[in-house]
Amino acid sequence: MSKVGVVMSREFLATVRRRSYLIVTFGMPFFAALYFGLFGILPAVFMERSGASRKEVGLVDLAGVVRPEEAARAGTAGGDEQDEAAAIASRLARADPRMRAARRILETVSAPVRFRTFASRAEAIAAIGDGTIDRFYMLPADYVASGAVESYQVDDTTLGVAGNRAARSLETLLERSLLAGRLSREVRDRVETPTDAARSSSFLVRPGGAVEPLDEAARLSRVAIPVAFGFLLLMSLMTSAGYMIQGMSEEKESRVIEILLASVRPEELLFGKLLGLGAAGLLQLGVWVSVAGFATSLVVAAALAALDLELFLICLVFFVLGFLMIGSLMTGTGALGTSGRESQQLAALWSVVAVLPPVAVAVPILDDPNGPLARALGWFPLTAPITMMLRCGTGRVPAWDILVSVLCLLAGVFLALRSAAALFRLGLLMYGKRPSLRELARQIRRA
Amino acid sequence: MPTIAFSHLRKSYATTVAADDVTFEVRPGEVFGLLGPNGAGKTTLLRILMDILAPDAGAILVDSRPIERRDRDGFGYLPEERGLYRKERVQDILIYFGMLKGLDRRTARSRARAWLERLDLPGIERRRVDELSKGQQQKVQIAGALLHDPGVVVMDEPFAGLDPLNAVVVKDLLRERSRAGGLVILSTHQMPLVETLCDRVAMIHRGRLVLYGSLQEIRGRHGRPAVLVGLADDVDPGALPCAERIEAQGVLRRIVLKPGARPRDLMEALLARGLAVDHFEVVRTPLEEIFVGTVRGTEGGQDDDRERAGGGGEA
Repeated sequence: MSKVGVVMSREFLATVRRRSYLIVTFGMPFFAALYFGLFGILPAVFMERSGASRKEVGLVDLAGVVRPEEAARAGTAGGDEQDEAAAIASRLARADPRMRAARRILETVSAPVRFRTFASRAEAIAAIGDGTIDRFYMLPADYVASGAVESYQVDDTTLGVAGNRAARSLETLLERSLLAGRLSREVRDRVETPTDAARSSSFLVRPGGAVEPLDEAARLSRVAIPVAFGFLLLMSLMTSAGYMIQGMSEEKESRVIEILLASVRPEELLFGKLLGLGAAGLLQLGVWVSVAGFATSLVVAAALAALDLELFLICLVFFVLGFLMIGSLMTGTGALGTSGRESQQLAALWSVVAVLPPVAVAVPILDDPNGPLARALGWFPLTAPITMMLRCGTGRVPAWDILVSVLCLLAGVFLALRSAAALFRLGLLMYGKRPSLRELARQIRRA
Repeated sequence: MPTIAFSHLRKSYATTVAADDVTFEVRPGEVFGLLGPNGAGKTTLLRILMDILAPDAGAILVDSRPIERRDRDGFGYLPEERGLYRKERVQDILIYFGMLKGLDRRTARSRARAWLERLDLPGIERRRVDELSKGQQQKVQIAGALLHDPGVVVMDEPFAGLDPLNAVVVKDLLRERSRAGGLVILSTHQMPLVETLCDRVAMIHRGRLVLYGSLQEIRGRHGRPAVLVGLADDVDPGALPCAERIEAQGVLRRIVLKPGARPRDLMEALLARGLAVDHFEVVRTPLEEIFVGTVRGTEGGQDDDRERAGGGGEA
């Protein structure tokens, strides 16, 4: 095994055996589930259990605008968002029987609001009194002219899922009642749903004028792959840099570093550490993605079905080269810190430099992926990984352009590794001292 | 085994000169001692030898050619301070160090076990470093330095933290390696160990080489003849013209002779004064005395006492 391999395997094993790594890796999904449960699902569960969502909403129509057939229809169909929630619930049920709990919650949220009409305000208040309803709306006689609606409820909270759903349902009911009889059924449907996504289609016009259908799933995947890789790159850098700096501080403090530097070149040590910690970082992300994938199996399946292999490979190349370059610079400068905290701050600078510019100008890059700005950021090694992932996602970047970027990035990786190794050696032997700028420049020149 | 030469090495930090044109060589089959007070520059020289630090000028030569990385793969190195992962098991650390020096995992494991037994540490392979005593940690580290059977052993303060018994174990180990043709370079403060272990020494003070050569040569050049004398009565140094000074040493007196004076001159002087002599033993000058005298002499500006050894020249 080469020395890089020995260092890599040691760093990987030492990291994955750390208690903190295990806690974060396996604890994160648990805490995420807990968080999601506490702030997302539990209120819906309680709402479902209490039966609050199934209660009817009272309606006192003094203006005489609500049509009885529309009120009855409102009991079987909700607003757009409720339709979406119901659609997701039914998709979940079809995809995975284990999703029963999630489905029930979504069905609860998406259950249509049923209206019960009362002749007068006093009658409705009496119904609240005996617990038949928790809220009612009253349309005053001048409602059509004024648009004023009075709302009565048992508690004084203005926020809450039930109240919002009832208000949205009332709007839909009023809209339909006001239009009923005045417009044909088709026109009324179009007013409600001007574009029906399920029946619409998109086409791509190629430079020669050829027209071809635009595959929505593929388009989603072309956006999702670069975004996923960009996110993965940032997360891997952050995670690995954290472990790297923790490990380096320990080696510096325990002086193991002298034995290591007496046996391997700083470049080999740095490279081995980067690969080992990168692998540990990816494993951690893999665990998270797998756990998250359990919850979103449909999305993953859809993404895989429409996977653009060529784009995937291009993004993978930029991911690996980007990780090596930015990771080595983070490690080199991180080694110069006199404390773990300072090292983290120094290291984090590089991730900001690498990620911020392309993200800040993402829209112009996507609009004109072969423009001068996109090309400049795509060829500059530090910003190349994220920029090229974004550019390649458009499918309009020529092969030679990608090749130039890869070559620039390779040169960047080489220079970054050499400089970082020099800084790494310098930083690791400066126990508790910070080197002067002159010394730094001298070391980098020597590298 | 090769001859290793430190050739005109210079290394300075922001305000300190750690090596100032230092030149000496270490030969196969010898135990070479690098001596000097704290901060003299010994560790810097050893780090340059191990390529942990780069010199500002000068070079390390192996058989008259510049040292290469593969030469250093045959070196075993023990740094000045504990260099072990505190939370890890002894066996894992030794295997890692062995593999970095080119051993395969299985060989590294079996050698680690053998070395731990040799160093009276059987059965600690699975223990964590932070569960060991300071002396045990030092011996684990020595095992790590010798695991790949290096031809050249470089040790910075190898006896630090060892009790007298363990110091003897390590001393025997180093002697054994030099007898087998290996080359041992060590830095230490412990002069009695240097006297019994080292063949030749170099003394560094403020980054400069101030003494260099075999112990015999150094004593011949810098030592004053001295005699351990047992006397029934007190004696005034002024009454003995050949004596430079008289020091109490237990029940005996150590009389350091003036330059040019011989032990028989002292004996004649004592007898001439009718003093009863019940012990008379000619002794060598302790290295520590030469060491302290040289440091003081250098600090006092007596630079004429400094020896600049070049091209393997002797002191």
